[in-house]
Amino acid sequence: MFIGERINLRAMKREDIEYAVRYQSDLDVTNNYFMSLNLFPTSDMWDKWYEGIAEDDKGFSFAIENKGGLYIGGCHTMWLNWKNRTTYIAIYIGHPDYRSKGYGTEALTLFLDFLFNELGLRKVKLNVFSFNSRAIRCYEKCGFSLDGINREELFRGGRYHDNLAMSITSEAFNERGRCGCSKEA
Amino acid sequence: MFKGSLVNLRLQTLKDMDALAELMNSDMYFESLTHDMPRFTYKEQLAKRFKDKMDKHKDNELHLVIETLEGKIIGAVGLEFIFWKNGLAFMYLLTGDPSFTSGGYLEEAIRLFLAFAFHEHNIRKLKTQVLANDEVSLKALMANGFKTEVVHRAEVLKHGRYLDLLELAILRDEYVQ
Repeated sequence: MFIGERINLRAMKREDIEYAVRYQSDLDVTNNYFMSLNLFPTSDMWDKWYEGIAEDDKGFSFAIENKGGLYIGGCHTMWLNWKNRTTYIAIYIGHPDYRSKGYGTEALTLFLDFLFNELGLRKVKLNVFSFNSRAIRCYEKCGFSLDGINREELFRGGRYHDNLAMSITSEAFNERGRCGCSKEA
Repeated sequence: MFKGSLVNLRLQTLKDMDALAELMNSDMYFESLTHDMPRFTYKEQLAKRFKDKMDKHKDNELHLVIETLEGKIIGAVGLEFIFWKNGLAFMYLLTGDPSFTSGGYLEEAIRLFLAFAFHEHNIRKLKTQVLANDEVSLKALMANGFKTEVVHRAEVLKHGRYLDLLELAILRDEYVQ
């Protein structure tokens, strides 16, 4: 377990699935998070996903919990490349009471600390929809910078939206101080 | 088959895998085309992967060979994934034969492919990744209207130093213009 001031990162548990399904049935979460259609998830889908991550020895997936142990969101790696020591990541806060209060920033900082200072990665990348200003603010606060704009990649709400490519290097992260930004939240 | 004045494009078949495996073991491939682990490709393994893919009959990928008018395979072009809802497709381009890196072969292959993708397959945006040292692909893509959207700085390890990886894209509206 990775311990922060207000949240921890821990392994997913089967009991989290009930909450994950609830959070990912919320359009405020799915509209900001998925490139695919917002079909509401079922617990069967999540069971399958859970069994996948339990078997997965190539990627890393964590639950974000509050200090009472409640699952409030998650974060995971995608396309981790050991040769180039890079990865893409995704992170979300699903519980509505924990959004826009700095919990995501704190979780992301803990996750980056793990990726850079335990796994030894050089660079962490992510994509974020241009209308998701809450997430963009969080990423900038954690030291991510813009690598470019994938123009008109997402069709949502009747029109096309840009998808921003952002990244942070281990040097940039460690220069800022490992957990500095959680105090700003 | 899509016919040009220098090259034709046609659907890949199992018989093409020997020639494609050769291109994937070329110096050019290891130098500028792969950004993952430098591994040799075995033709049997490539043939098996191709057969497995074809057996699934997916409608979100497409694989063509680029051949000269005499039928020599000089590369491949295709869509490794189509995101139909977003009209977005991820394109790949395989070269590797140094005799055909100039003279307009690759430019024509991409031109034929774009016409098919935009006018027949109803793709709205095509994107692809190119290593910064792959001047041949960069020149051919840019000549066909691709623009650099993202620069992943110091991304890929080659000969002890990290090279940039570029994401290039073209929208259907830009192609029509």
